[in-house]
Amino acid sequence: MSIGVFEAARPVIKGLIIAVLAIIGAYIGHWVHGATLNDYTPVQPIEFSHEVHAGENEIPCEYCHSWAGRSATAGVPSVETCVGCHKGLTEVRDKPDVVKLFDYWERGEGIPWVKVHDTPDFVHFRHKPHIRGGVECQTCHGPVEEMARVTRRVDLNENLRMPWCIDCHTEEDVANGRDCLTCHY
Amino acid sequence: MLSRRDIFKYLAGGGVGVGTGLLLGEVNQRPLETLLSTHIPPEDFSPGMDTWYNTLCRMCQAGCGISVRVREGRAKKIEGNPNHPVSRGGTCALGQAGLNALYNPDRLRSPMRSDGEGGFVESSWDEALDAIAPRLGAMQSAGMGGRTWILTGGLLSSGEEALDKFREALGANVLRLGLDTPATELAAAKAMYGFSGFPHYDIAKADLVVSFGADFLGAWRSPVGYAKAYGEFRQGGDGHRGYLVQVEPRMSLTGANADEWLPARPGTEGTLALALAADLLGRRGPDAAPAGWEGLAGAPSLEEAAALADLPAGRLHALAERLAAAKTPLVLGGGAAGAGANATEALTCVASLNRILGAAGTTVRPNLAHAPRYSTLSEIEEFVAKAANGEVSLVIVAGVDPLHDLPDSLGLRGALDRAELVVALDSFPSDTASESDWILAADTFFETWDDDISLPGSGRLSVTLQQPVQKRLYDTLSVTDIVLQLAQRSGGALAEALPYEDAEAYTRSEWATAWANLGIQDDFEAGFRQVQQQGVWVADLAEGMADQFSAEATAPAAPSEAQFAGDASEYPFVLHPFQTPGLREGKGARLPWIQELPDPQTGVAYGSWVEVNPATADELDLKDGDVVEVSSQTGSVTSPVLRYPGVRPDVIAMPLGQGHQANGRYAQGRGVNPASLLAALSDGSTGALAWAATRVALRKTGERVRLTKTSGESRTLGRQILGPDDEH
Amino acid sequence: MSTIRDKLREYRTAGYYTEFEYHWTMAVDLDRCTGCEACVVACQAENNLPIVGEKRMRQGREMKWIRIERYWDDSEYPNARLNFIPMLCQHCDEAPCEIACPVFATYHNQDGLNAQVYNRCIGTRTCAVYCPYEVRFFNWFTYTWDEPLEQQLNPDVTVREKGVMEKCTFCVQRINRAKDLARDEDRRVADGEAQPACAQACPTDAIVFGDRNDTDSAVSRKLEDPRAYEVLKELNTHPSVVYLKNARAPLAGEEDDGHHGDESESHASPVMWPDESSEAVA
Repeated sequence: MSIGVFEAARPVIKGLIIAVLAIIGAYIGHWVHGATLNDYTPVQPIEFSHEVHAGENEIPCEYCHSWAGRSATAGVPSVETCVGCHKGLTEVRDKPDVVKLFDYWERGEGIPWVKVHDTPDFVHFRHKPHIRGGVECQTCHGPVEEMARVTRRVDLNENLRMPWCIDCHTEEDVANGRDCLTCHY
Repeated sequence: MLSRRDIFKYLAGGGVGVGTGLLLGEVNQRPLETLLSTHIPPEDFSPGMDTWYNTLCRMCQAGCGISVRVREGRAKKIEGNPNHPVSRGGTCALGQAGLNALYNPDRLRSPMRSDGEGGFVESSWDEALDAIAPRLGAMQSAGMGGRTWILTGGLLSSGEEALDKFREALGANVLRLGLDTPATELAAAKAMYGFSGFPHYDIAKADLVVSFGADFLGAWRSPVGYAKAYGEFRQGGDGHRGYLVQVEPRMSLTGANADEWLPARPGTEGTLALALAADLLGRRGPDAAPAGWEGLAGAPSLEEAAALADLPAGRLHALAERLAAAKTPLVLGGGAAGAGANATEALTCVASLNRILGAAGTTVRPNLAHAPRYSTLSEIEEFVAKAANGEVSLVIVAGVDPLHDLPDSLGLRGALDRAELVVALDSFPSDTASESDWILAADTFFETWDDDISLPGSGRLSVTLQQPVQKRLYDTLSVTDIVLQLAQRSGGALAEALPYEDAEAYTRSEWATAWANLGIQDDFEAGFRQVQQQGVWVADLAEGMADQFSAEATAPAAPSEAQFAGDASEYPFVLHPFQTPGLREGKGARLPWIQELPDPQTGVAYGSWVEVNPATADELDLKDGDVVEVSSQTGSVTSPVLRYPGVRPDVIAMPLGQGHQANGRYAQGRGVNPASLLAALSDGSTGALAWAATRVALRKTGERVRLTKTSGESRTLGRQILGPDDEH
Repeated sequence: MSTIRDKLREYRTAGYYTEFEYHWTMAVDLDRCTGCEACVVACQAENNLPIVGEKRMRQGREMKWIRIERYWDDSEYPNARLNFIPMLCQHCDEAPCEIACPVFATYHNQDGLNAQVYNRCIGTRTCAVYCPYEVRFFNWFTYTWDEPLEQQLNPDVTVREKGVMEKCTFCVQRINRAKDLARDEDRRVADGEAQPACAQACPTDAIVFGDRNDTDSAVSRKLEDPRAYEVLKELNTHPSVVYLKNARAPLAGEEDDGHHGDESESHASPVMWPDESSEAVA
């Protein structure tokens, strides 16, 4: 009798197993996507290498991202800033990406950089207090000076997420660092 | 016991899952956003940080100074400019909504040409200017400039000056239009004080303000400047609290804030004031009368005045006592009291109180001795007649909307129809612009240069500079730019009169000339830069620029009996059109924030209503939302009723500003326009339009609508919301 | 489990904070307020409040973090009197809404602000039911701006979307900016440095905003005025908005003719919650 019930329930159990496997699969798929197939390393309109500029040539971050210490946003440099240096650098003038830069300059256009770091909705991140507090750019942005193409740090998706912010705010004993209204308004 | 088949099924299940997961990841991924770098950053560009520009608010005629917050090249917020002597850091609801004009979706983005069938097609500046300038050139060389009429407002600005130079060089005519112009107020100030300009009323200094019809907290002349002063007047900190008495047939915002509201019968304000004046002179003896007065001929007693005005005599006696006892009283007159057929006489009587009370020189003070001259009804009629005879070749409408703001009975619509070419200079497809042959898309005041001398002023010379706070959003030019371009392209005397490249060059040159004339020898560039930072230039009024109180004044005569258009038996109610703080004469209607702003006293938004006294409403069996037809001799409109305890039983009140036939999606077809009902009646002395002297009839249509009104209980029901222990 | 429950209980105890770092407070002088509504539009502009449209406004869904309430007294024409009172989130120190929220989307912070965290809010609307001042607004829709009106939006303030509750924040973005500047110079925020949009716009200076902890601040001085009172004080919500009563005297009685004052009537309404009963509750 009991065997009979089991036999009768068999297709249902099978179905359940398939469903569970499918759900586990979905989790794995989502995780794999987050870890690999994301757009955290987008292709930029000009293949600008931070490795060359910040690394080899040791240009300070705030030379180009000059508002980081003063404003909420760090800002991207104007085309004029790029050309200001590159006008004198004749030895790299013929490199394809430098040619692209001068094309933008001559057309009088800005460069549509693709955002790598983008704060989510309902959050207001302000650079200024962090720079004032002595946080290194690399703490959040990773070793940009080693990146030929900038990538967002993805250590299992944990960095640049709220618990990570809160941990730091707690460790550093930031004034009102755990108050929601400090970031969410 | 797993069969091959089962294993495949499980694998397939897992596989589908992984696929779904990947897909979900892809779908949930934030879309990539771009961060556009600047090419060459403007000097003041700093991302994430605010830049503030001091400039001029042009939402109404008051001329307040504002500071505009700009982020990444876009204006974000308007605040008051604390340096400004008139507005002193304050703003009003309409001023706050100024950015709705800048970013309005229905703004004109390029010059538009009428397609002759009621529509418009986009055009270019070259095409537009080349279509108009040759006509101007031809008229100029033929000496037929008089066939051109310029319709404009009445500002004291460089832009208005450019229009005037243009008019003079061409020999054209001008109409300075507006419904509620200060023409009668200026005439009364001239008669009683000998002023050529608008008096400076120092409300802050007063301990008693008696206002005859002037809604100075809502929409009269300089609401922000007066409101600043009102705060001081009420709770200035030195212990005194000013007392406010408001005399008007419909409780305005000022009436709602007054200590006493006296609903005098329309048209009797002057007689009331004269009775009070005679009473005061009686108390003080004949010696108290200003030099040159032989007495107040024909002044009624307070009892007679009370009966005429339908007010309790006791109230008038109390008011006379208050006036006699006040140390620094101030009497104001304006609004509907300045818009009857006897308005100038009435306001002169009102102003005479200031002379008797010694307010002249203390709470009423001299200002700049200059004011625009507004067009009289007969000048408008002359234009209409000329147009009918085919003697008008070109009409230039510069930023005004007479087809909406002025009564239909003036016949302006027909005149514009008959004019050969009508060119409107406007940022919006206003009612008038939409009837034109060309609309030359104008900048908003955030995008160009100009200036303004505030008419209500501050007792000093204060010129507010208007400067662009951001780049032009569209292919537009300022009104001044257009005038300059037209002059250049027409050649001849026009080109000679206005040899400037653009509005900026012209404005700078005007300032340089003005400073040179005033003998200011400083480095112009440095001085101008400082004005750009401050937003305003303030100086003491030089000798000859300030008004002087005349030593003598003729005693005010008894005002003639009030005349109304329409027979009392056929049209039993006097129509009291009023301006709300947001909509004013109609400029606020295209701003969504203003449309959604409940009227302060009634809570109604998005539309028109007819205010009826509850007793009258009971008589006519009218409830809130009952649609009535309001008809005058010259027109009729239908609108829902609102029972309003602050209006006389023989008066019905309607807000101005709605009922646009065009003017963009927020304004078009919303509500009705009571200005369209008004008769072409004028003030006997100045010829200004008497916009509060039309009688109307009410008819219940049987239809009923729900008013769009903020919900909520209109009584405190003992909840002590307004303060403990009493219910005021 | 019990520790979480204890935590919740502790958190939900009225007066969770015994003292505030800053105690942001607003004083509204009703004798200065004219009801002109400049504050209403200023708030709309500063805080990215949407236009809901005529239809939804008719359904009572307008979004106005500050509004002017109008109350007629019980008299009739010609003695009827109109009173205005600006109503906004009172940032109660013992706020009913904070007790109600199941997900802690609304809470009290160390500066005495009643915070609304949009990311936490799941839209149960319980807080709005609990609020006796009716100053919480629910986003029934994701409102949009007709292009290019969206270019006016304040980048310092979130644009809310469907399903979250919102309300006056005392312009926390401006407070944060002021605190940030003060921290640069290692000092406290000076009086008048942080001004909400409504206070800055007010043409009669009826709205005064500041830190109650600073006894010299303009707002602290206002609180000492004998006219100062709290709306619905009997509910013991301890609001951070204090009103200064309008000083208009009652209309004098009429000596003659048909116009009669209605003072007797104005006292006729029963006082529903006398002060004694609120003490009994406490």
